[in-house]
Formats: sequence, structure tokens, C-alpha cells
Amino acid sequence: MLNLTPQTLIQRIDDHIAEAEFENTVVLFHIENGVYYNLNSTATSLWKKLYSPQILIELISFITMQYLCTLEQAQADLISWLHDLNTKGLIQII
Amino acid sequence: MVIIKTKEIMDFEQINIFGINLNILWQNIANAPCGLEVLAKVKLSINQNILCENNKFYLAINQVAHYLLMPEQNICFIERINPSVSTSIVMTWLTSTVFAYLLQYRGYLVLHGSAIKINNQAIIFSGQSGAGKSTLAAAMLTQNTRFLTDDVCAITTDSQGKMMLVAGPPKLKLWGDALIQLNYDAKGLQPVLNKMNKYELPLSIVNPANNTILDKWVINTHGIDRNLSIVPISHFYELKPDLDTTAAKCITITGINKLQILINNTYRYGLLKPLVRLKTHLNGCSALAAQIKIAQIIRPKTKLSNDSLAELIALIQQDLNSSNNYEYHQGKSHAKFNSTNFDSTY
Repeated sequence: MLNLTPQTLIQRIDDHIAEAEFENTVVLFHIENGVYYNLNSTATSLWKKLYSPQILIELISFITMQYLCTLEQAQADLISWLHDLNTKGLIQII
Repeated sequence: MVIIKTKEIMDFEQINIFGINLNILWQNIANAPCGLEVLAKVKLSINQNILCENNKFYLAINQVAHYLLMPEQNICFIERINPSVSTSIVMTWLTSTVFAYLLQYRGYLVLHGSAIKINNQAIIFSGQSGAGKSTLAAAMLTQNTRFLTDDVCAITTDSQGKMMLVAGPPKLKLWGDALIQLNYDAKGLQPVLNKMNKYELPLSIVNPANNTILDKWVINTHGIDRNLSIVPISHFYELKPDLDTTAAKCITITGINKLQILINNTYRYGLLKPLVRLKTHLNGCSALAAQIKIAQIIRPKTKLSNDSLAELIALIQQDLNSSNNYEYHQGKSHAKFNSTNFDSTY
């Protein structure tokens, strides 16, 4: 499980991931697991932010502004997405 | 001053396949610079037929030959095991598996399929062994089409970033029954060793002194280009024989499924990881998926007859001229696709 606080720094993992853009969305390939992941457009824009380390609270406010939702909604969705990415070995906490 | 004496001291030959020059040395692998080291490693490995590293490739084909490719030096050592096996069979393994490694090493995208040229565009037929790739490619050769490659599609990028198919060796491998359908007699043709009822058909210009089998072969008179062609790719058809299908149909593939189909029809996919070319490969597949139209041809799982071939050709010709219905037929694959979506429905 990820231990997240608002100040947690999150970044994508570079080493075992191949990445390509296809029809404006990102496709990731985990070289070790041999699994491809197709990101939808929202996930693609979040993923591109993770090229450089991001503080969790920054990502939450990005979602809030992008989709005009409440902080709570953004936080809940984002955390579950980050857990998902973490389970798949695509992100790391630095 | 460096004097190259190679030709004087060794049995040396230069070949050009897929536009790549490769020096062939007909020698024992043990005499190669890293030969003993490779053989020792192979002896210790589980799979003693193959050794794939990022700077050398070893392949042992029982009863045929052993190959050691050193891509940096552009040299392939070939040790014949059985003198009664023809050079043509020895070369078949070189131009398929060994060249797949060399092409991937050099950054080419290598897909499994046969291709023909129509209106200066490459059309690829793919699918598993026995799906009908080579037979369909052969049957579609006419006055206006040209043979490009059989089984191995070497794809490169031109200066504008366009994905281009490089023509392969001018020969086709066909099953015995496919030869009969196309009115050729297997007699006198070279069988492909590991598949005894599969034959290699040379597509060279006919020798008038040759037997009538080759005279009948339409490709020999107008099938191949003498010069290497590098042709932009426009279509990719995956042939899928299906037990539940009674009439062949063509299904256009869209979105991410296009990418999945190209990945699943990669030639010698397993070499990519040791070659450290998986990233290059994904980029190549997505660039190609963006450029071309991809469709699946679902056909009844029966032997191709004249009628069923004509039906497939008609389907493809219709598809080449238009678009089609949208539906995706899921099949067995080695590319597991998963989504990691972020729900944004607020």
C-alpha cells in the first residue's frame, strides 16, 4: 500500500517501462511483466505530469481545476488511481 | 595501411538481403572470435539451440547448420552440419530467424507476414502458420501487383517518418496443397526441411531450360522487381481461420486494438527483450498503427480452394477501395492489454 500524505512526491518509473503515444493517448508497456496498459485521455494528462516528481496536493488541485469537482472527490479518485498504478509497478514515491 | 586479406584466407561471401550487406563465413563456429565462449555458454543453457545477447546471436538447427551472428562486425559464421542439406535450406534459416535478429538489432520493426505491392503501396498479410498468408499473397499477384516479401516483413522509417516495407528475398514458401491450388507441381521444388509438405518456390526469372513447373509460375515472368524496393505501407490484413465461420468477412480494426494486432504479429518477439529493443518496437508499432488501415479477415477453417481464394481476394479488393463495418474479433495473443483509466465523470 502507498502511504500518501499531501506532501508525498510521486513520479513515474522509467526503467522497465516503454511508452508510446497512440491516437492522443499513452500506451505503457511494463517490460518485466509483459503487460501493456492503455491510458484514457484523463489518465494520459495525469501521466504526463508525472514525468517530473509531483506533490500529491498539486495533482489534486490539478484535477479539481480541470474537472470543477470538489477536493474530496478529486482526492478519492486520485488516490485510488495512484494505488492502481503502484500495484502495476508504474509509479514510485520519492 | 590496412590490407584486408579476408578473401584469401577464408571461405568468404557477401550477401545482400532486405538491403543489408552481410558477410558470410563458412566456418566452424569454434573458429569464430567469440566462438568458444558462445559454445560454452550454450552448453550450460537450458535451451541449447539458441543464444540471444545484445551483441551476438547463436542459432543451432538440428541436421542443417549452426549460425553465429556478430551484428556489430557484420559477420555471420555458418557451420554446415549435414552436407546433404542444400544451401537453399541453410539460407532459409539465415534469412528468417538470423535476419530477424539483425533487423531488430538495427532498429527495424519486424512483423510476421507476406506482402505485395499494389499502386506503389505495401499490403501485408499476416496471421498464424497455416492461416494463408503466402497463398493469398501468391494468388493476388497479377500484372499490376508485385511480390515484396514472404513471412518476414522488415519495416523501416524514411526521412519523413513514414513507415516503409523493405522487399525481402524473392521466394515464397507454400504448402503442397496450396501449390496444387495455384496449379504448380511440387515435383522439383525444394521442400522446407522442418515442414515436409511445405515448399520453397524461387521467384527468379525463368530459365528456359528449366522444367515446365516454373514456366507456369506467373511470378517468374512479372512478379518481382529487380531492384530493391522500399514501399510505404498502407494496409495490414490479419488472416484468422475460424471454426464457426461459414462465409469469410472483413472486419476493420480501430483504436488501441490496431496496436495490439501489430504487437501480436511481431516476428520473433522473444528476441526483443535480450536485444533491448522493446521500447523501439512499441514506438514502431504505434507509428505503423497510426499510418495504416488494419483489418481482420475471418475465414472458414478449411483448406483454401480456388473458390475460397477468389472470395478472399474479392473481400480484400472491396476493402482496399472502401471502409467496412466496425467490430473487434478477440483472439489468442501474447500482448496482454489492460487499461489504467482515470474516471473523470464528475
